[in-house]
Amino acid sequence: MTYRCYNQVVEKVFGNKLAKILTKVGIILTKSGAEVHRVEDTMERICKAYGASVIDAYVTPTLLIISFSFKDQSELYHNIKRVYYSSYDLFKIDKINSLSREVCSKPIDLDLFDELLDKIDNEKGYSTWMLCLAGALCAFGFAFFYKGDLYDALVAIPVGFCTKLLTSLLEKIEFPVFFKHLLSGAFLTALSIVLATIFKVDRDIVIIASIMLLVPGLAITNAIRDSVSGDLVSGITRAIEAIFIAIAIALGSGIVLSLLGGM
Amino acid sequence: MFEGLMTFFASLGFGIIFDLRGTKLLVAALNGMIGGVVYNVLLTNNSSTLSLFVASVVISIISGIMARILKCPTTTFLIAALIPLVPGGQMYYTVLDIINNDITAAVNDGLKTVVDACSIVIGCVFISGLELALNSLQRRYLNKHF
Repeated sequence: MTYRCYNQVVEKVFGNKLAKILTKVGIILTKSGAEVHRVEDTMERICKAYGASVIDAYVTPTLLIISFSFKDQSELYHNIKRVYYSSYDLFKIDKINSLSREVCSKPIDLDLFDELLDKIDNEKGYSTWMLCLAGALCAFGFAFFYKGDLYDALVAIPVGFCTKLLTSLLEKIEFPVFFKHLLSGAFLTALSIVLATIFKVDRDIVIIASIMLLVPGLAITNAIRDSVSGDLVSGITRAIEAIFIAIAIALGSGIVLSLLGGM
Repeated sequence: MFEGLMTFFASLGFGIIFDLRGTKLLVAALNGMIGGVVYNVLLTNNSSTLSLFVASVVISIISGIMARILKCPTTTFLIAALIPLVPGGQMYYTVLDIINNDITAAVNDGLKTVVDACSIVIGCVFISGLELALNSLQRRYLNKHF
């Protein structure tokens, strides 16, 4: 009898720990911009690998729910987590993906698993300057893509650099998404108009080349993939997010264009 | 063709922004370049809607295959490659028309933006759906995950 009690306590501790770790996995994946189907699937697979049954995972871009129990025992374990801020990072998704593959084929100790998750979560991405250079590279490429010449592309470089710098800074202070895009759109349009007037190049191409940096590509792609795999709630949520961002960019650049349009 | 090749830099930049590294970054950028070339070559004889559709189908197929080969999520290669095709230029011209108070042109450009965006989406949906179907067939008959 005592032995059975002891066993139950151990199981309870284990179950609670597992539930916490599963939501941690889910939060890292959701924040990094994984599709809902992938998050649910990863959580369920890990759960199964640790011997749980009757697993239910429900994920939306803002909420995670996991519920499971172990065989021939009626005790249920749950965890609910609210997801707040998202910063897109495909590298983390990839890392978690390979970690969960490893864990599913050979379950490791939960404390070790937790440590590995923390390590992935705290991993530093590219530095801000590298991101800004990437922004400059994007603007350079897009200027040619939209049929500009070398001079347009050269003027687009500083605009792309400064736009990415502004968005990274706003991201760091967790500025509201709508105003972040509005402000960035307004800023890049003003800078493009000024630089295009000074260097006498086509201002439309410079603006378009740098506006592409703000386009909500990840939200659109995820909206499509979520809707196709049947997660309609998050599909719609992400589509609305994309539309909102597009409106914010249009509003920001529209305001500046109508103020400085005559220049 | 030259415009298409320049998409490489745009996709490379987006790969860095979304924190891709090493081989995966290079594959994503090359994928974007292939999409850009397909789009630009088709654009000479066809409408932009059809060109975008075909380019998005090609990009989705390549990402699906590369994801299986390198054992990582499909979105890794899809996003950086797909973004250059998004009709940001059309969107900008729509805003410009609204500001110039030219509503007819604004409706024209706005509708074109929506149609172009939809053609990318449909191309992507088509291949994502196919991928899911193949996955379930594989699971059913080969009894193997992924």
